[in-house]
Amino acid sequence: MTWDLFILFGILSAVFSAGGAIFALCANDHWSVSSVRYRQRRGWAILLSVVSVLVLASFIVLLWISLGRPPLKTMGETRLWYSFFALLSGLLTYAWWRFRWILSFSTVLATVFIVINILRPEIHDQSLMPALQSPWFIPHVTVYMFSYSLLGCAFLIALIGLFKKGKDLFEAADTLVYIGTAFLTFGMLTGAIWAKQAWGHYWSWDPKETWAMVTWLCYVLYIHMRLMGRTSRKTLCLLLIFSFICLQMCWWGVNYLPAAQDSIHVYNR
Amino acid sequence: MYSIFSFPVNLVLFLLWGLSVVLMWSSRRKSGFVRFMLSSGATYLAVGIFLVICLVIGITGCRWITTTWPFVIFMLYFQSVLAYVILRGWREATATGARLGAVRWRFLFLHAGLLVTIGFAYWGAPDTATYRMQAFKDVPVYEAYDDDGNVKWLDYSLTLEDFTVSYGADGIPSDYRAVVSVDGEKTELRVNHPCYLGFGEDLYLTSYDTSAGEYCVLQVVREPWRYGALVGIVMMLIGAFMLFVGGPRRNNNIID
Repeated sequence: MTWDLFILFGILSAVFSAGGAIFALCANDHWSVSSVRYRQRRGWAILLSVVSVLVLASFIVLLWISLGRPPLKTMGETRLWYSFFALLSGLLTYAWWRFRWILSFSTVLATVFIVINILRPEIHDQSLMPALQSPWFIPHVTVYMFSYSLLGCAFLIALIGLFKKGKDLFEAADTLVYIGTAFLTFGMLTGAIWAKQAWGHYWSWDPKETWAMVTWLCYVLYIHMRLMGRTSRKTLCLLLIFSFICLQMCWWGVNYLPAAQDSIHVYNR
Repeated sequence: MYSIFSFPVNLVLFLLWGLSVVLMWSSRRKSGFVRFMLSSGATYLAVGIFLVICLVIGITGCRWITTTWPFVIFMLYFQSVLAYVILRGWREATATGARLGAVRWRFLFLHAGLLVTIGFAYWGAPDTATYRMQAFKDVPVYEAYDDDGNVKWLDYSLTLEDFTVSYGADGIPSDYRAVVSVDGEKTELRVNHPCYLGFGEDLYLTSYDTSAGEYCVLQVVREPWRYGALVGIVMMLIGAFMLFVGGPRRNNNIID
C-alpha cells in the first residue's frame, strides 16, 4: 500500500460520505422519527457514512502495515487521521442528536483535508525519529486528532450560531466541547508524561506546548462561561471560533511562527 | 534568583500559604476577599490572564516571562482561586450529608488535580535542576553544567562505555543508544528510556556529536517534587474521563 492509492480511497470515502449527507438532509425534520420514510433515509445516511469511515480506516491500516510504523508522523499523515475522525465524529453526532446538517459539514471538513492530502501529501519522511519511538506516541496523537475533529464540529455549529438562534445548537456545541476538551486534556497530559520521559520535564513552554495550553484554556473558558453566568450567544460563538483558530495554530500554524524555530516538536515539518 | 526558595524554605512557604487559605476559609468566609475569590469574576480573571500570558509566550516565544515575579505572583493567585473553589465544592458536597454526586467528583478531580499538578511544579521549581555534560568514551565525568554555564560537581562518576547509532533507509538516525556506567554500574540509555539515579533524579541521553561521533550529551534532571505532579496529572486524567462520560449539564444561560 502506498500513498499513490490514496486518491482512490480518499475519493471513494468522500463520495460515500457525501451520499450519506444527502440522505440525512432529505430526512425532513418535520417528519415523525418513527415514520418509515424518515427511518429509511436516516438508515441510508448512517450506512453510507459508516462505509465512508471504513474506507478511510482500511487505508490507514494498510498504510500502517506497509510503512512498518504508525502513520502519525508527517502533516500528511495527521491530516489523514483528522479526515477519519472528522467523518467518525460527524457520524456519531448525527447518530446521537439527529442534526441532519452535521453530516454535510463533517463531509466538507474531511473532504478539504482529503483534497489537501491528494494535492500536497508531505509523505516523504519514511522513518520514525528516536523521540517518537514511544508507547505514548499513538495514544497522544490519535487522542488529539479525535478532539480536533470534535472541536471542528463545535466550530461549525458556532458559525451557524452566529446567524441562527436555537437552544439545541448549544446543547450540541456543549457536548462536543465537553468531550473534545476531555480528549484535549488526555492529549496534553499524556504529552506531559511522555515529555518527562523523553526530555526530562513535564512542561517546558515549548511553542507547541504553549499553544496546546492556549487552546485548552480557551475551551476551559467556554465551559466556565456556560456554567457560571448568562452569556450572549454571539460571545459564545465568537469564543468557539477563536478557540478553533488557536487549535489550528497549535496543530500546524505554530510551525510558521518565527518564535517556534527552536521548538523541540520539529518532526512534522 | 529563586535558589533562596529551595527546600525547606519552599515547603515552609507552601504550608503558610495553605494555612492562610484554610484559615481565611474557615474564619472569614463572609469577608469580601473570600467572596471575591469565589466569584465568577475571579475565575474569569484567572483563566483570562493565564490565556493572555500563554498567547504572548506563544506568539513571541518569550519563555522568560514564566520566570518573572509578576508570573510567580499571578500563579499564586491562580492556585488560591483553585483552592477556594475546591473548598467550597467540597463543603457543598458534604454539608447536606448527601453522597458526592458524579458531577461533584468530576469537579473535584479536575480542579484538585490541576491544583496539585501546578502546585508541585510551582513550589518545587526552586529544587528543580537540569545539568548537561559531554561524555567521551572511557573518560569518567564528574562535572556538569547548568543552562547558565555554572559548574555542578556530581555525587557520582559517569563513564561512557559504548555508543551506537543506527540509520534508517533515508539516512536519518533511527536509533541511538549509549552504555554508561554510573559509579561502575552499567546501564543502557536511549531516547525515551532515562535511567533512574535516585529520588527524583534521572539521567537522559539527549544528543551526540553528529560530526565525529566522539561524545554523547548526557543530562541529569533533579526534580524531587515530580511525584506529586504525577499524582495531580493522574487525578486530572480521571476527571477528564468523567468529563467524557458525563458530558455537559443542560443549561439555558444564553442571552439572545
